Amino acid sequence: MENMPGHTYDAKVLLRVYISLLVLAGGMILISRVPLEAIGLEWIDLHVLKGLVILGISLVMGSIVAGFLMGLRYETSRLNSLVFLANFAFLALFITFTWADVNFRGLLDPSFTKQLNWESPVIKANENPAAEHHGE
Amino acid sequence: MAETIVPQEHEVAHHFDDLEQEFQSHRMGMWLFLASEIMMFGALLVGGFILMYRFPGAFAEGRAHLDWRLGTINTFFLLTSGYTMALAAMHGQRGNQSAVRRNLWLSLLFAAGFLVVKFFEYSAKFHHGTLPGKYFTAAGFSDPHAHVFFGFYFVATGLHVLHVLIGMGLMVWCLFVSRKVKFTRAYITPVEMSGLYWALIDLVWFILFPLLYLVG
Repeated sequence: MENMPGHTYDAKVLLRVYISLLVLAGGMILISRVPLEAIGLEWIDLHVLKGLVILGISLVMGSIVAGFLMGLRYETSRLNSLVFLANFAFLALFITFTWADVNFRGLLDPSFTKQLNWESPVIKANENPAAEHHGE
Repeated sequence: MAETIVPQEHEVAHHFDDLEQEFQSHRMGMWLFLASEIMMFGALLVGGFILMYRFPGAFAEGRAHLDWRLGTINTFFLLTSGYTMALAAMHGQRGNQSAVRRNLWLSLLFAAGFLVVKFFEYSAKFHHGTLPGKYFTAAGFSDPHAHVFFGFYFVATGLHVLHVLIGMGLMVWCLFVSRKVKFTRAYITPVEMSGLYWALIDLVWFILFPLLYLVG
């Protein structure tokens, strides 16, 4: 069996992965429904904290999928793991350049910021009496 | 009388030395493809986070018009279809051809369930005019950038739905392959590669779901 390609799927491991993903998804949804006003803590921004916890759980879920369902945990070829991890280096590059662009746009050429001259369709819809009032 | 097709053992392609080399080549190719997918979705999600940071009011108001319960149902559908895809690969390794097909059908069923829920979500948005850019016609929103949220919502979920459709196509292809080729411990490449693709679809949804429906 050692010469067989890939790893062997185990029913128990797959079931545990499935249940843990369900539990994590349930936890993520439950946390999102917690009414923060009732807690009454003022020295910390609970909205930011809640958002970070929810996104943290989603990252854990993603790691479980990548590790067990995509088989990175059993990967014998380091090249495949390298390809996967290199993505995050590229993502960091995307984030850095976009962050720099968003925060420092117009610093060298102030007229550049005025080039984005668009009319808000939301304001137009509110001004137009014929538009349907949303009621979802 | 209809001819019964008996699945045959997979033969290694002539340009590979053995099954191991063939499998590793396929897996490497798939990982390179997935890398490009992760970069594409990564850039999209980074854009989403930046928009959320720039227009928090628009995201809060837009999010209030999405039904988290529908998002939860879809999360369950994707989670379960990911599980059944992995089960299909497991049964393939055990040579249980009928269990492979059964799990592929189940995966297809849950994926179709995801699309049905998405259809109802999209039709509500079309009905109320909460559409991207100049197509936004819904009155009553207070944030002037509310359309930005719906622009991101449709681009991100639309691209994801497109991937779900491709993934379903791969499942159908695996079903066809399973009639001709016998899966064994040594050969489950079509199911395993399709499973990898489907896991990526799961992974992207695990970030899109909280970003669009829960955070904020």
